[in-house]
Amino acid sequence: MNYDDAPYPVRQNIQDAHRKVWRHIASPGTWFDGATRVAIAAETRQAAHCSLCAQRKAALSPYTVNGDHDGLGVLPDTMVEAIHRIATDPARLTEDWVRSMLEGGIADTEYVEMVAVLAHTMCVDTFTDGLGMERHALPEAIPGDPSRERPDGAIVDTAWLPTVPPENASGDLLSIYPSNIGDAPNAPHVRRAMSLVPKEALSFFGLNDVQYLPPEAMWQIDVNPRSIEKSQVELVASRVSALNGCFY
Amino acid sequence: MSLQTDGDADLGLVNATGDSPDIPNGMLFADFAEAVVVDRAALPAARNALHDELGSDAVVDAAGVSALFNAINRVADAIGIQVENSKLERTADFREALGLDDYQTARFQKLG
Repeated sequence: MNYDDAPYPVRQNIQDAHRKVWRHIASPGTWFDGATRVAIAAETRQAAHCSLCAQRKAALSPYTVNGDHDGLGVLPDTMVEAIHRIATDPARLTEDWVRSMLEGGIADTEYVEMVAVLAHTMCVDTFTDGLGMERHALPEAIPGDPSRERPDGAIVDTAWLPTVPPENASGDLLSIYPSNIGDAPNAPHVRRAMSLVPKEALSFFGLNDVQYLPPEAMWQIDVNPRSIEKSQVELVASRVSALNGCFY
Repeated sequence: MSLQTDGDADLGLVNATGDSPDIPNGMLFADFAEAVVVDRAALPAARNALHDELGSDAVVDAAGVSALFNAINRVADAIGIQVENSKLERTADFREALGLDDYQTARFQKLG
């Protein structure tokens, strides 16, 4: 992966972060091997071309439209359903739907890792789309086994799925929870979202720090590492969230 | 009052219900974000307009923020993340003004 042919000079820290993300996707994860993770990334891209997803998106309720996804035929049907729905119609997901995915055979840890791989993929793809350049080819899977380490201290309180609150976090996971920085709250809930699979949370918030703002800039008004004003950063973030119908 | 900018701002551009005159070149950034998320046919023009006014670094920064939030929105909605109570209290006024409580994803929040 490189940005040599990008139409605009891309900051080195974004280039480095995206190379790291591609390696991360290709590597054995916590619950999936590299081949499955790359397949999740590919299915994320495929969702945009799925006719069932287009019909559901246009329907008053996505739950009234049945059929088969135009999937790539690699992942189980339940995972394809999950990936396509999250990619194409995230604002109308419900707790009952998530429960149905878990009852369909996806473990809660696997669900979180799948969401994380999807989010990493969409983050890099949307960036290249935004610049008007071709998407990067997906990486080749790196052989190896997943580590299968579930963190201690996960509880269900601020989300549909278990998360690890800062008071229960240990090791590397502590680094996603800012503390002692300006007016930083103890832990914004979205930082806890993927904490059931710490490697994914750590990786994603590495992207957050270079594409949005690092913690020291989020909670200190006079710190701004970007070329545009913070009000402009927040406008873009808010407009995207509004268009996606994301209340959070 | 924005905690990020320490200033008041009209947020009409967030949901296209008005202007945000306190945000320099706000319309250029709002148009770019909209093109990235829902109107790819408009993206070349939106990107060029942003570039012509503010240069390459602004395009890269706007693309970076757009992409990050296009992804993290899905994380929040797929995991069912609740908004912090303290944030709900601080945002009640502009949530109402912008109609945010009518979002589908507001249904699983404890809005009180």
